[in-house]
Amino acid sequence: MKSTKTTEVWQVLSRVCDPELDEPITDLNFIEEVIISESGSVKVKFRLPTAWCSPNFAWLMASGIQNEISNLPWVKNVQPILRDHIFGDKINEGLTAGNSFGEVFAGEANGDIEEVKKKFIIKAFQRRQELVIKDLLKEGIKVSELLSMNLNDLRSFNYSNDEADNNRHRYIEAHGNVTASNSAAFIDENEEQIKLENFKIRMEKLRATRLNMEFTGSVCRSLLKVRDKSELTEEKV
Amino acid sequence: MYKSASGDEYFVIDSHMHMWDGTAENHKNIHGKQFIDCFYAYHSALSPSEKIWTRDRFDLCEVETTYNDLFVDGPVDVAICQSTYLRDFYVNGFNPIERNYQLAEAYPDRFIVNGAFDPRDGEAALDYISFLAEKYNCKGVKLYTAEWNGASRGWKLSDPAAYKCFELCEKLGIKNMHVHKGPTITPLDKDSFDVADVDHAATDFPNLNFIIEHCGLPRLDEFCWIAVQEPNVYGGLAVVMPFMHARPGYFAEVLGELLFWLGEDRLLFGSDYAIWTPDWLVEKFVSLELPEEVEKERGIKLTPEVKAKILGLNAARLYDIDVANSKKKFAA
Repeated sequence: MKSTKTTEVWQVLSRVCDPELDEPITDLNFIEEVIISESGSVKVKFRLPTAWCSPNFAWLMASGIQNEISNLPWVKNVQPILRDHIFGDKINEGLTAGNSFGEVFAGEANGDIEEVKKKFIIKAFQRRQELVIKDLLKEGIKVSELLSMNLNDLRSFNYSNDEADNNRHRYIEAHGNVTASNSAAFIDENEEQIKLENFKIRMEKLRATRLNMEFTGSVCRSLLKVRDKSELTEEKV
Repeated sequence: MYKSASGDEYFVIDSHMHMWDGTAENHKNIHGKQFIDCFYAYHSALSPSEKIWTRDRFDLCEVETTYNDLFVDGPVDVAICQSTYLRDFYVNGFNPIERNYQLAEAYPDRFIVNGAFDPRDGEAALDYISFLAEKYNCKGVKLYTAEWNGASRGWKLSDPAAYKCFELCEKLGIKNMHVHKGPTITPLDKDSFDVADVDHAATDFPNLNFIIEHCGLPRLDEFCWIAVQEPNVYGGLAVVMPFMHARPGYFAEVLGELLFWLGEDRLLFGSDYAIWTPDWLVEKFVSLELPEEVEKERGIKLTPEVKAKILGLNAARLYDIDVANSKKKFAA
């Protein structure tokens, strides 16, 4: 049986998402093992679909693990251990030493990991927005009505299915990451409400984001399935 | 030649294949193992289950097995072999031109072998391009802008050093630049597979063809935007093709975008052999019907004529292959 502490750690881990897939790393089976010592130090062993997965995303997940677990009151220190990755040692050592991405990859990376993070917040927002718009159009809402909705209208809309309800929940969360001040339900990344005459262009944009994300997403998912399968075979042997 | 159930004939040019040595004996370090492991994962992840090979078969491609997979078990008429050196990971390189050229020596009518160069090598790159033209009579090259070289973590097609290489290529008749702009492997925070540099190079070298392998995915919209403006930019469908099996709805939408923006004359079939084999890819593509809503929304049609262009006629144009003549020769 899992101890309370272990359960707590798994709970907070579910808040860490793969930036490209926009899904919790716990659902994706990235976490291999959680080791908790008496003194309150936590080790989390995790693995990505391949050794070649992008190191900046690996970094975002590893630092996400560290941040989320550090928030638990009894935790003294957190050590994420990325296994079987070309930059595994570099990332693990860097995070343990408290260095930033820029320091760890000095000379190899120009720019800012925060920029990457921001880019993925916007992508998740766009992707979730397309889903909600399509759900509403399916319910027979007119485009002009839809665009005039505010967040409260969206929250109180009565859907005929649960999936749409979940899409709405996730969209409102992403909306909050993009703006704190504009309560119009359908805005763009610059916090401007989408206008009727721009609706078609907006939908093209959202489609492009989805097609790009789905490519990486389905590659990752397929690779992951293969990885899980080969591990099962190894265990049998 | 592929013959469909309804009797249509397709002349097939596989514009993107390799003959690699990924065996343990050839690994220089752990990255050699990781690289071929990653390829095998792609192979297992996106192939139909009955087409998945054993690891031994996958790790080593040789002249006879390659010929067999493409021309005997597969419907290919002419194959374009793309060289990938990776000498930092593999003792003898992964599939360098001297290895690939064995194919053209054994089957001169069947294989076109492309070279590769790295503009960051400076003068040495220019010498190497001359060597490629002289020794191998190359008409094309495969370029990896994200490849590491010393302290450099990538280069751009718009770099002055790259322009020197392009000028020489043009002079020597190496006119087809196959540029890997695709799924991200080992990038850092700056994206070396960004497609923006294609725009500059394609404008400044209108006599060269830029075949963007993997269609820039996952930057499809940026790639399409550039391709619309540059008539010498083409989309290579390697890696995109197997999605027909793994995610047919997704493949249809992507092909819809490509046909809408680039049109039917600028898309090239490629299997990325030995990651995937052309037999099932061609069979599936010929029998493919796009969903009505994709055709309607984008105002396009995937007719047998369009398929014939994508499967071979477009590549034939780029590589000056006389299709009617080749058909006769291969039928004899």
